[in-house]
Amino acid sequence: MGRYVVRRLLQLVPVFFGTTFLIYGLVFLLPGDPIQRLFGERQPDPTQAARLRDAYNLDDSFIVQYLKYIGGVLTGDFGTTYTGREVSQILLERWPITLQLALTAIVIEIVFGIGLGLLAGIRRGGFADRTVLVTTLVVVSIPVFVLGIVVQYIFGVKLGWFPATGITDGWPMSYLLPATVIAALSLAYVARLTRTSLVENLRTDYVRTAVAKGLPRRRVIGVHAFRNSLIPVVTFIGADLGFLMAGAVVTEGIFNIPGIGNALFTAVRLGEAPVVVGITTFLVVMILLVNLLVDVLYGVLDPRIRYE
Amino acid sequence: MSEPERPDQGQPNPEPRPHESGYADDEPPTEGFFGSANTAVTDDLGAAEESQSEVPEQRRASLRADAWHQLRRRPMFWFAIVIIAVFVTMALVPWLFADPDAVSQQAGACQLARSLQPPSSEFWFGTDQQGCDVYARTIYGARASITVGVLVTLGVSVIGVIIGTTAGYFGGWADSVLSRIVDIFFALPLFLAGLIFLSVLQLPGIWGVVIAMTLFGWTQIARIARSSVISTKSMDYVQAARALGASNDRIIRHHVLPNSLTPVIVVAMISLGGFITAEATFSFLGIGVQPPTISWGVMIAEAQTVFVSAPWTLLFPAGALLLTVLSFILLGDAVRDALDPKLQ
Amino acid sequence: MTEPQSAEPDTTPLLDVKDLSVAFRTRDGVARAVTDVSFTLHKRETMAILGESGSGKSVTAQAIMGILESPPAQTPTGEVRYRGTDLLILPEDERRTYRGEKIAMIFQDALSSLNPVFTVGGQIAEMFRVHRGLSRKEATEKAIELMERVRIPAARDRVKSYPHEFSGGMRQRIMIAMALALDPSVVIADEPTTALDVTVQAQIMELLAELQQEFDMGLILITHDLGVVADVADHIMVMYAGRVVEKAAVTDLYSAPAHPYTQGLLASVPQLGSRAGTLASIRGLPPNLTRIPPGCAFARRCPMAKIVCYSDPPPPLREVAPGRQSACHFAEEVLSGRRLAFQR
Repeated sequence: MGRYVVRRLLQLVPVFFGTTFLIYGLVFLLPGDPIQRLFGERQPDPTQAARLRDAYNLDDSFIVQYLKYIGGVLTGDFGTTYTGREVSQILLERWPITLQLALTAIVIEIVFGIGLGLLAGIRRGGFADRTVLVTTLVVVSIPVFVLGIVVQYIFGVKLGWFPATGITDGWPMSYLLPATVIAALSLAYVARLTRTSLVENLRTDYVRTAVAKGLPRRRVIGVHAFRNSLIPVVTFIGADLGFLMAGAVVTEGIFNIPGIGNALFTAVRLGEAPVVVGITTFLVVMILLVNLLVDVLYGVLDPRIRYE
Repeated sequence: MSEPERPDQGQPNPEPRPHESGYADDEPPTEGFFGSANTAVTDDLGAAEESQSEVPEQRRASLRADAWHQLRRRPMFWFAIVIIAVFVTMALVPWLFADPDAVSQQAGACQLARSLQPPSSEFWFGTDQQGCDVYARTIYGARASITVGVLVTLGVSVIGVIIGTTAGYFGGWADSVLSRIVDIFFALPLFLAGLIFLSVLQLPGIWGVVIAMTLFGWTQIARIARSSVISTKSMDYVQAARALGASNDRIIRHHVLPNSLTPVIVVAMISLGGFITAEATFSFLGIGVQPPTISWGVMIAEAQTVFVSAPWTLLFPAGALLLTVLSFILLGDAVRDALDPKLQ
Repeated sequence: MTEPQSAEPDTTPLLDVKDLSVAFRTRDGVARAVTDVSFTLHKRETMAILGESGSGKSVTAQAIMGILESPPAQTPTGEVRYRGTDLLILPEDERRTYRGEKIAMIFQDALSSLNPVFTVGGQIAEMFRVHRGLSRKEATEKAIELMERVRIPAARDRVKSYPHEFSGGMRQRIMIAMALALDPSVVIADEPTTALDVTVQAQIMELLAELQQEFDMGLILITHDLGVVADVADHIMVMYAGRVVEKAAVTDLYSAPAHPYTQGLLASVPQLGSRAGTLASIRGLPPNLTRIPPGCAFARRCPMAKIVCYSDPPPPLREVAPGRQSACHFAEEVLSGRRLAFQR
């Protein structure tokens, strides 16, 4: 198991470099003057421009630029805004908020997603099954931002059960609504995946064996089928992280939650490329690490994978 | 976003070995031993069909025919097809549905005086904040949304299949390199990549969104294509073709590709809905489709501020978006179920 | 109907099956998988159920175990008496107490029949933990004991290994260990060696025979392989299209079959030292179980079929000689040694 983890870690390294290279390249390799692009549509002030040129090492060759940039990232320097503020400062401030939001969303996604999926799969074709299938199908077709706006209105404004914006009410009240919105789409997928996986596993030979062994139904489903059904779900949750982040960016914007997503949201709106790059790099690193965790979890669940 | 490929759970379908007996018997040989029949090898409760091994083309044809037959019987399929047909027509010939002048930027089309009017017989979907006809804009919005979806899906499919097939078929260092590249692109979520790309580069109309998503949205298809090609590659008929001296190019084109494309098609169909949603999200953020092109995302973004007092400005484009994405997902699901041999 | 007497003086049958019938609801109609199957099994007796795929042998076993999937299977009719108690009419909770404890089953493909994510020790130990309430430690000890009994080398070390880490033969031994864990009186082995190499087959069959003597149990061996049966079985029940067509003691069956089908099966076994030529086989295929033709189901493939075979109801299983039963209008002819010509 240890070797498996190390191997995954090693595979992570080139991906890290590759992806950050990609991000960096996107901003700085595209045609046009990078500095101009950094300012978006505004005219750059010469002193600022010079400072930025220096800060971004634009007089060096591209590879050197990139290496200096990565060096910065590895020491926690994710760049600066053009007002001189450190992106890492922004990240540090907003990180706990987004973390709370993300964790809440993931918990909702897992608990309700797997729960509903199991409910649906145990009695295939039953009422719970059909309801879950239809509802999830609809939810999956709604974009996050539409859901966010509508939910905000119904539960925040109209019914007033939850605060419509901001985090003044702290956890959990302020976070529940946006977390649910973020989790909704992924929850729907998790529920469907769990259901399908469970149904498939209930038809396998080893479940037949478990029944033939005289084990109670509870155990056959809850122990034998369940564990195997979880495997694809775990993989999905890992792969879904990027999507969750997209949801977070949009949702934090709609609900006005001062998290990392919101910072990204604003930066995009204002065209502040350095912030966009910095935050994105940070997020990608987070995703890579979480994916590593998910891979490890997968290895725990499925022993066959440890010896690949 | 679509359901990612599930890793192979490695539960092989037990294929019983053909009748084997190594024991000599005391029976003297009987006369007359002709007979082309085998005792059926497959464990099938139902029909005992001809169990000769079939040529791949035949198998492919019968699988498709069977799939089509299955597909035809599902009401969901027809529902989805109808809706998609309606929206695609809307996208292709919007002028059939609504007057083009109603959406032009020229004066006369949107009149502030008519702003925020609820649905009426004159304006079926009401008017928005600028006084524009929501109905007409919804119709014309279909064009951008669906075109983006289709173009991106085609683009990522082509890129994904090329990369995935090359990696899967040739293996070795090509596979290592390409897979590493896929991993790198995969680690960068489509949304984030799109964010960066679109905040840095502004392209007219729909092209920004299309290029952004095509450049970064192909990883899933590449992976599926690769694993599909790998399993097709080891099939007997491919080995046979190789033994007969067929060139790689020919093998890929005639044998591998046609048989490995099925999962790709399914995923592509399901992804289409996701791309449409993604476009709407980008447009909502202001970095998607550029004005004067209209898309549903743009409409919803504009409607956000007045949603409370004038819900129709948001609900209609949102509804259209929902229906379209839903239909593509249903279609993708239906096709997948029809093509899945396990569900027969 | 006198049943073949077992060697033991103990005449209480462990298993007494009477007119067992199972039907399945399929896409194409109702498939009569098993029709009017009857037999008895005594202690230390090995009965082989012989038949090709689709003959109903596995379904019979599953009906006895009560593990048929209830759609699409319909409730079996008839009686399945274990030591006098009819299992078919028991409520599920009670029925479950027989599974694993009194009647156990060994499946064909151990790789897919064992849970891939749990250790083999855990899966064997589970029997003891669930049925006997043993602690994990005690149950694992028992599991190691069993693994040693079925001759898995280094059992203590391998108890923590996973199914995919074993070879086919070893896995099958694990299945056997699992089945024997609670000392059941009846063990049903459904094609236990079909997925294995010939040499391993022999080892497994030897093991089964030994364990049967040791555990004093009744063994039902399901197979399509004539060779495997010869050494191990006491009696053979030949099935075709869901019905029993012949029942006899092993040596009797091999030396003088009483049904054309049996003769055909025996004739199709290639002989060492026979002239090279086309292999004998029974032409045609078994009938579609949803559309079993009237009359004898084998008539269409039978070289000696007469009008009565098609027109009359299916021939009943009747005694045609002491200890011999056959379901053929002309069983006596076959029994007398008439050589049938199985040709195209």
